[in-house]
Amino acid sequence: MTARLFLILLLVLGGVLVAQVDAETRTFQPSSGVWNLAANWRDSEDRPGIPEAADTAIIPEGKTCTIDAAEAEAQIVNVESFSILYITQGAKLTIHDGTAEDCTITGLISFIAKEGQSDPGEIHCYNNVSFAGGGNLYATSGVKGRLTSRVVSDVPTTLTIAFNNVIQGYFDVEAALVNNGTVIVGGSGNVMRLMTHPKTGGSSAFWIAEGLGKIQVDAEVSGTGQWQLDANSTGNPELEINATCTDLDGYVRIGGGTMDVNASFCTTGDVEYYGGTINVASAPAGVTATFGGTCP
Amino acid sequence: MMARIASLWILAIVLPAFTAVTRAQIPPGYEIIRITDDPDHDFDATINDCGQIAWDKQLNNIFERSEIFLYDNGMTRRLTDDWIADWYPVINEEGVIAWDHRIHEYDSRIHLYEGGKITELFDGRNVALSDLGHVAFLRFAQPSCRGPAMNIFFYDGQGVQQVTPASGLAHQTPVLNAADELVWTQYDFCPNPWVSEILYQPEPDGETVQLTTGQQVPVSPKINNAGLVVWQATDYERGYQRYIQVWENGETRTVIFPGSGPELNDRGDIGFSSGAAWLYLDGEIIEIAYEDARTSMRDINNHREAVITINFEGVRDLAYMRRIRTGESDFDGDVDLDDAASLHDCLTGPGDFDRLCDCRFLDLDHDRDVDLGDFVLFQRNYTGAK
Repeated sequence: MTARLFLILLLVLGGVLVAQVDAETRTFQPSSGVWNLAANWRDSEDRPGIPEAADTAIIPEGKTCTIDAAEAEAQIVNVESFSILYITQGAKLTIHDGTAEDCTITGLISFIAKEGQSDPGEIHCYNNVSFAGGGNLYATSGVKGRLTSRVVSDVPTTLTIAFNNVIQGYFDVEAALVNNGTVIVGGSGNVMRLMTHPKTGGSSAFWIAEGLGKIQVDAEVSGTGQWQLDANSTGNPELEINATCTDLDGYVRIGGGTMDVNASFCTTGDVEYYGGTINVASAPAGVTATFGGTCP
Repeated sequence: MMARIASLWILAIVLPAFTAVTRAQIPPGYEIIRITDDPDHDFDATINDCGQIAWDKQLNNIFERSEIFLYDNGMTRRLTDDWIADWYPVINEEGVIAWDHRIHEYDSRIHLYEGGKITELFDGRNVALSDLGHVAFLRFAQPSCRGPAMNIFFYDGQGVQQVTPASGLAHQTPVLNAADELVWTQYDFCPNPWVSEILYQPEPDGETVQLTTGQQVPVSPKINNAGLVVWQATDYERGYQRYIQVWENGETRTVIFPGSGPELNDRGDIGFSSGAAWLYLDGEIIEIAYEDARTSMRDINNHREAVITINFEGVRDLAYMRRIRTGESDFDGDVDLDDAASLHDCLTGPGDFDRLCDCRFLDLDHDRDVDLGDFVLFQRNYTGAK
């Protein structure tokens, strides 16, 4: 009987321990180097090894890590202050779910060109990602990045930009986005496409197209963020509204360029007009653009 | 019979975790000493049968200040002193040490310490070293698929030959045994998620054999001089637990669950980590502890001595689990005439001697020689044949 009880205790205790998730924390080591080299990482027991799906990957302060046209994955990615994670064209970072802890980016994630590669770099988020502190997301002009939310437990994961933080460049933002900072695009041929999942902006948020940049709104955007079209010496920007956005409270500043309204746009904020064009599509019928009024 | 096998299998799964709840053990006849004690992190320690330990120390915790150190029977020497990262040393039975001299990501050289001199061999990284002084390493290659491709190369003291074909895959973490049998990890970073396999080449220029099939993320292979191979894999279905498998004569079996980072000696003992440093000796699993430090396994030798990391509040130092010196040299359970004969052969007289190797077991007063002082202690411990 005692032996049986001991065996049961052993199995229960062992079972509990074995059932634990054995996620590793892997810390990037060299001052600069590639993600996909085992020697460049150490786990909590100082073993080399590339981050796996359940792992936390840390790019410590002052380090530069590059995902060089390869698949990379982790459950949590923390890019610390003054560190950089480069994602080249053709590279894909998958951030898996399974943890209550968000990814925190207080350093820089930058999408960059890769010779011989034309596909955009991609980040697929099965886990929430927060840009805070000095955390920013850039794409080199002409280099396209792709950010996606994956639906986990019926809820899309969220990309959050804190006050004073920035997403800048040529992106397909397929992620659910909470913008309390700045989303900005400039430069010839660069398009910030807000698509797939809803976005919202807080009172400190800006949605800015400048120069020859374009913001293309293909998913609903709501909130009190401010919209800006800023022409400069390089050219005139565009703001193209292709999804109904009628729950807005921010003002709209048209400083040159073109605002094409192809789906209804309504903000309780005023419009400041310094030149440029606002086009409201005649089809489909019923498309309206409302500024400073009452939104439905 | 099946029920017994099942019970053993359950125990194999449960025991490491269960034992972790109990207090740590040290094998009889062994003791642990601390060999580094400073604020700088010590990494990548390897040990040979002479009890020599090579590692890299990150001075001031600056990566570029990673320097190579050598411990030999109580004496520690610093081998490198520059602002270029020297890391991942490996030491062979001759006391030769090879490591990566990493100038930057795309410029890394293999450096070799032999006979008190450091020489630069060629460009490469992730070095493995055999007892013959042969070297395996990797170099970046042009990707044919996507991602950083890497190939394994082999140097036999005469020339360098490429082991892996230009496939666009990333071959990493090579390990050589004394017969130049080679194992390594092959990564494919094209699929999502990326995959890996353990590959084995029984002889230079020979066929390559894939040892893994269907395991998730098998990595970090090691091979001993008996041709036994171990590696770590991950069980995605059971909480991403790492476990350790052994390959021997064409058969693969799981020996430790959970466990990671296996190290292997020629007896088939396995050192590994699972929240602490552990040894798997003759089917018995023993936790290696040092005071209140968090420990992790670095390497074991054929005397079942081990070097472990001792982590006090994030600072990594090293400890050495070594044989207690009683006068035994053949470790047959007594101090007898056989050991006296060894003492006679090992006598150096007073002095300071490197590489006493197996004679270190007769340096009973730990003063780096085998002299009359040791003879006196030997006499006191003499038991005669048992």
